[in-house]
Amino acid sequence: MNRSILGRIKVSSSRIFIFFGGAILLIIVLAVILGFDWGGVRQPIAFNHKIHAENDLECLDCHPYYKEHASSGKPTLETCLSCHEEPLGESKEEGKLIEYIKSGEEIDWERLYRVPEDVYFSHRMHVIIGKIECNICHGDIGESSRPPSKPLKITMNKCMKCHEEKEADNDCIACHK
Amino acid sequence: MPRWGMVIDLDRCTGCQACVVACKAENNIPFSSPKEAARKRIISWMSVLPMMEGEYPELRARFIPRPCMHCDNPPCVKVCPVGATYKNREGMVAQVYTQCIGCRYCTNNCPYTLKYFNWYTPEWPKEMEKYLNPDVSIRNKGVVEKCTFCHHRLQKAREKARVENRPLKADDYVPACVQTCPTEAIYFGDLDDPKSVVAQLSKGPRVFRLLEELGTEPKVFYLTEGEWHG
Repeated sequence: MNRSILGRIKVSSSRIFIFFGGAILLIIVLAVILGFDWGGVRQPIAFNHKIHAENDLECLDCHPYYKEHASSGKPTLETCLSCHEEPLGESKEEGKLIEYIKSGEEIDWERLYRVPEDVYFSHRMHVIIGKIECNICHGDIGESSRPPSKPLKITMNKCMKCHEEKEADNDCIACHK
Repeated sequence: MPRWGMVIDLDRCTGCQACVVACKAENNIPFSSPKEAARKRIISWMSVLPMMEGEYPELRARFIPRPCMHCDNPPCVKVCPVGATYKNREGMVAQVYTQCIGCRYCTNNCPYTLKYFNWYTPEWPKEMEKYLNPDVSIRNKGVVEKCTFCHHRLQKAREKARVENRPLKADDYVPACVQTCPTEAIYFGDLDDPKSVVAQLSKGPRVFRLLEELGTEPKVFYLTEGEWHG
């Protein structure tokens, strides 16, 4: 008697395991197929690069430092304010910006690209001296209507290949600090 | 292509150790506890070696500041199995921390004992963390490090010169120890430029190099007088 009960419990627990395991697997497969965003960067406002580019804004208008400093810089509230003092459209995202402007609180833009800790990378060096365009590393960001949640993959091989083509220094310590 | 080198005038050195402190601050070198120091695990890219001569009251102290010698024939490079340490075209002996596997062959093969292993994860007092130099990476536990002649300063100086469309000037780039030395005992520059101060001083009669007989061809030259010569 006892044995058969134990047997049943065993059978039913393994069935439950298979059922739930299968369900979890199905969810994961579906999520991968549907391109679920696994913990990428989420901007406080779903910024539309395309619409800004169409309105004749240059990269430099919002990222003011890439010709002068190592880092390119993110737009401050004041930058946005110079055009958006009054709402220019009816989008929900612009509504969020208007809220920021009303409160005077800086927009906490999330950083998308991060240079590895042991690498010295200068935007000025690449833009002014190397004369390379933004899209070489950043792709068609100006064409995007939603902020990307993941940066484009920039590997050391890619850097070194470009350095070779442009006859830039490929010595390890030219970039590694 | 420059060949970077250093000349240290021992007659000018007072042993004040300002170079040691400047180096530590510039290059994010963690403090060592007395316990670590007693185990000879202290990291000091620039260290002043005291040499006592005679007996009290006829005692004479001499001080030898020792950065990495950046040998032209570096023994450390020959034994690195992964190419983490190498001599670049400008004669600098470089250390790529992310490439280093921490085998310590180089540390043991350096006759000057000027390569340092990270026995511990580096730590700083909380209030000091914001003073760390962002131009120098923080080394992890388990890798070897050494003096770089403040190479990060060269990266920046060269970039600035190129943006301004001019050649690199002699005083555009000097390591932190050179900049800080109150008696101006340390000179730095291009050994291959006959007009440079280091090139001229390194050919003078007062010059000697440490363990010259080993054939390592160090690019750190010392100037002294009297019995030190030879």
